[in-house]
Amino acid sequence: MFEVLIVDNHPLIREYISTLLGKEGYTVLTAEDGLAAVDILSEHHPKVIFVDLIMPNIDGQTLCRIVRRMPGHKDSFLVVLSAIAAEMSIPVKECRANAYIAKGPFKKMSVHILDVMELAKKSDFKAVETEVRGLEDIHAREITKELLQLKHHFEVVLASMNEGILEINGEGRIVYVNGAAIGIIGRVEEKLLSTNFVDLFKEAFRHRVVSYLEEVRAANGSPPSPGVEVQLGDKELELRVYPIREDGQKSIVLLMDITERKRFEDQLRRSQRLESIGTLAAGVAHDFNNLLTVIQGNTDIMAMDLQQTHPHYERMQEILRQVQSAKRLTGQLLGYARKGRFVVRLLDFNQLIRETVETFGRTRKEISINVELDPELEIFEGDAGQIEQMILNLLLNAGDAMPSQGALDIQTRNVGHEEISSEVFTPKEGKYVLISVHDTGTGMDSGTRERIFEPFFTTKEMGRGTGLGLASVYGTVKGHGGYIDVESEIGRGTTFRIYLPVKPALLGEGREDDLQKEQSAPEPASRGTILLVDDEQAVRKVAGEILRKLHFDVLAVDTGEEALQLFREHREDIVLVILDIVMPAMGGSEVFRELRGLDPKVKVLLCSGYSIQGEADQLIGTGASGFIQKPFSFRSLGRSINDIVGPEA
Amino acid sequence: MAEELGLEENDALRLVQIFIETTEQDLLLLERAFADQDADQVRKLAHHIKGAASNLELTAITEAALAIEEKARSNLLEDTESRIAAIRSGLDSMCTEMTSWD
Repeated sequence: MFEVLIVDNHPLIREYISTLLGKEGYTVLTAEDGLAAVDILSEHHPKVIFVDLIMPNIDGQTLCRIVRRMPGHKDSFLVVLSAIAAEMSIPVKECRANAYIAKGPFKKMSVHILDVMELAKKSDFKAVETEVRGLEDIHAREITKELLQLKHHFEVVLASMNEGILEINGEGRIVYVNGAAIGIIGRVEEKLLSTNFVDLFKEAFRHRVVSYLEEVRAANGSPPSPGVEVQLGDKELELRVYPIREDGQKSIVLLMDITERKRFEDQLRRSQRLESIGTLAAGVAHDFNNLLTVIQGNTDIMAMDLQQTHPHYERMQEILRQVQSAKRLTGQLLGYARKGRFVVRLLDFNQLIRETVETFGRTRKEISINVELDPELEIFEGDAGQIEQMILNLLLNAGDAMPSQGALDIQTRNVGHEEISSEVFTPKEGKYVLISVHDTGTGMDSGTRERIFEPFFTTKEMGRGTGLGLASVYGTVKGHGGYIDVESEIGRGTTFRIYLPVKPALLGEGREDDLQKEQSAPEPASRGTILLVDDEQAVRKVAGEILRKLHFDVLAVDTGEEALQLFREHREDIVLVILDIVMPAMGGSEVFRELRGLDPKVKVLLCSGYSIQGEADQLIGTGASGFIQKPFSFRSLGRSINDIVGPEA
Repeated sequence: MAEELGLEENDALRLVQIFIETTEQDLLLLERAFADQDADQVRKLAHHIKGAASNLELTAITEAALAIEEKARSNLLEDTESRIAAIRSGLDSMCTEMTSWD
């Protein structure tokens, strides 16, 4: 005779049916719940399975569903045993069982059980009944009906939740999953049920999950510690476990898909890191500019006193050239920190690219360069100097990735924000111009890719790279309200894509800054007193000397308070105030306002190791006469002064 | 009883033994739940006892368990103690009866 499996959580039912069928010659297997049944079905192939409808650890309806999907068991003759048949209609459609028997007194049940066994054999286990046998022997109870409706209600609630919910037993095996959990985990229900929960995760995360489960168990009913974050497939999940108090063994697991949230957090973290490095970089640039002012000023003065034939004259000129190089570096740092000079005008991007590519191509003839420029490319507003430097830096970077030979593809085209898809940013609405630069060079791993926009980060050997090229590219792109994306793999080259908005929201108001126009200025003659306010003693000293060489009398002070005091005393003699913006205690802005209060017509030349952006820009808007960027040369300071007070008579 | 269940006497005896054992366990848990005034747990245990008693058509135990279950559903536990006593006495008389079979 064939095997029969009885799945019921009450030992009395299991014993009774086993005895009854054993006497008829059947081999009877028993399981106390759905989970134990799944285990038995992995080794046995019973032809008839009796399934109790309401059981802990995988209920009857779920077990029927699983059996119907199991390759070796889907043709089993399923008999549902139900104690609730009178109170509620059995979910016949969902169970897809062959027969249904209402639980009741054994002497009545025995008749139905034996009848059903006969039916199974006669029909070769194929007959299907939808009527419930034995209903006439029991009576409906309102109270049970209500409870069942409540249970059904909770099932509906669980099924409609966005969070994945699992129930795991004391051994960690899954006995319940809701629809969201199935979706998040990405496996069908029958594959999930009875699986060990921890086995869902890859080796790298298992340890974390296990120790979290242990931690929750050790907490012994107290509120669970914050969840644990793990990866499952390509998803980032947060996992929380809540022990079921009255049971003591089982737990509820809450699965939340936090992939999107993590992506935004990463994006935020990355941009915050770049921002803070930017602030640091700007601070360094500012201090260096002060130092360079002193070096340049002193050298200028010395050079002025020397004949060109003097053996040290050429050395002085070399110092001044090096100061100019250093100034370009601090300029790049300020560019990265978006504190650089910004001169906005309408730009022909294609033209800038053609020119830069030509310059670059001359230096790297072994690289084949393919340029595809969209002739309909939108004209956009930007700072030509910065954009040109940006293109050059991209090309140099690509060139460095191809030390011997390779190919470089440069393209431009118009794109709408909806065409831009990136994992690291969400573009604002509007039109953009895209430049993409693809090289066939060495490519980067993800660790390098993460850090390429950080200033001072370089993969080149000591002395070859400053680590500022891509950082200033980043600063320029951000300064123009654009986005940058990089795609790279070791051995497969790198593609940079830069999206610049056609109408950018530029930081600060762009203006044609004519303070530094290259023109030869006549040497000024003595024309009164200049009040020089700077907290750096060395800057005061050298600037004072330059001013005196320019035939001015100089009052030099290191604080705003002193400056105001001296201004009150010498108002009649002072033709100009040279005011450092960044000072401790009373800052340049405050001093400027006070000075204007004392004399609305006061002429003030602002200066800073930072740039015109920000405070200086605002002050010029409220009446300051000009701005000079440190480090300044003898000539440029002279020109700036001339522009304000007029040339020397 | 064995005849009514369509079983031989030994088999019927084993069933009754299982019933007594499981019901005694359930009854101990029921008493504890009642002491804790945990109405939900009282209801579940009474339901369990009732199901098994009705299989064996033990009317007195079935009725007492049903009454506990229905009251506990409304969070009422006042008569639970006397009904537990009724179930216990039902079990005791079954034990006595079984001894007489031996």
